[in-house]
Amino acid sequence: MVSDAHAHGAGHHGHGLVQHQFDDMPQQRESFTLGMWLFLATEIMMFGGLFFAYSFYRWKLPGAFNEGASHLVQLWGTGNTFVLLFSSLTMAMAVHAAAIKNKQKLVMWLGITFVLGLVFLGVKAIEWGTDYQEGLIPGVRWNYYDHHHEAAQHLAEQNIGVHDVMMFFVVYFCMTGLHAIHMIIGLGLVAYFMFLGGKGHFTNGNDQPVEILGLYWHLVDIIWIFLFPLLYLIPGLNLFKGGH
Amino acid sequence: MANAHVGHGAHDHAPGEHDAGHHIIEPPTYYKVFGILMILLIVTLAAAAIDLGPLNLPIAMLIAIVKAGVVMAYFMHLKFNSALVRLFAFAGVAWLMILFHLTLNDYVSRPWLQTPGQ
Repeated sequence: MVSDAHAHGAGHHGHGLVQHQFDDMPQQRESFTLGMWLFLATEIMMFGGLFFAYSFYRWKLPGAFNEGASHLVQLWGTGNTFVLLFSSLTMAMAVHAAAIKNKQKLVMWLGITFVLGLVFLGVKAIEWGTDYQEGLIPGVRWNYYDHHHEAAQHLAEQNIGVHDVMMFFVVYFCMTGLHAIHMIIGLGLVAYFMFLGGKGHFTNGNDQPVEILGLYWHLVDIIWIFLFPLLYLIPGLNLFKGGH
Repeated sequence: MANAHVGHGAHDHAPGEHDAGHHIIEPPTYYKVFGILMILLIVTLAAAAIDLGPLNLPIAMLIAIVKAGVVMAYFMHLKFNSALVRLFAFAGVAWLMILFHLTLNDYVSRPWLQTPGQ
């Protein structure tokens, strides 16, 4: 009876796709999805610590956070938000392509997602490069206010310490840095999935790995959805003014 | 044989239907969701352009929560997942709220006490 049920399951869902510890495909799907969400919950907790640190220091040092955020170029941040939201769409399309077993479209959508991820990191690299040149990286190169006496004087008038502005940038680099590490891991996975997908791995009925990868990608997108207004938009909207 | 099929009935589904619990969302839905996200991005910028004092932050967060909710419901399929999966997703956020709530309670209320060693 048991072996008969298994033969039925294997015949119905395709040979070898249901791993031996599961009764059938729906149970396996549910388990994989649940496991991924458990992992995402731990990710939320890890980023959550940083979001808390942000909240605490912004509450403690409101003026310094306003000053620090005014150094960021909002146009870069807005552009990157668009790029990431768009990449979530293309990732969702890749998941759909795998579900309808279309190998060409799967590889194409993953490829577009990969390029968009690269664009995001490229923009981040430009932003960080400018921060380095301006001397706005705590512990690495922090001499902006040594070279901009007016800005330093302006801070002193408002009774804001230069070290308090530094705190904004510590939080900024920790948060965007951890986010960028997640993007790099995501890009590696997308490239690997393009390689496997091209060999037909996910269009043979075993499409769920792409869905799981999508969950990771979308979570990284959601983190950025919160980072963008928190880091860039503190001083109000001024798209074209770089703070330099 | 017949009994085997009856016993299997719990997992049975309508002919032609794909695996139970595997709901395929069609591309037009994804396009609409992306359109909503673009509108919300513009709303985010518009809200930042208006100086509402202390209200700016909660409004920006509210818009971000709506954006994240739309991504989770459709792109991440939560709307079509089982209650158990939704509970796991909710738990991550719930625990984060406990962290924020209790820790900020302490930090924010500490200066209220005009006692030494605050």
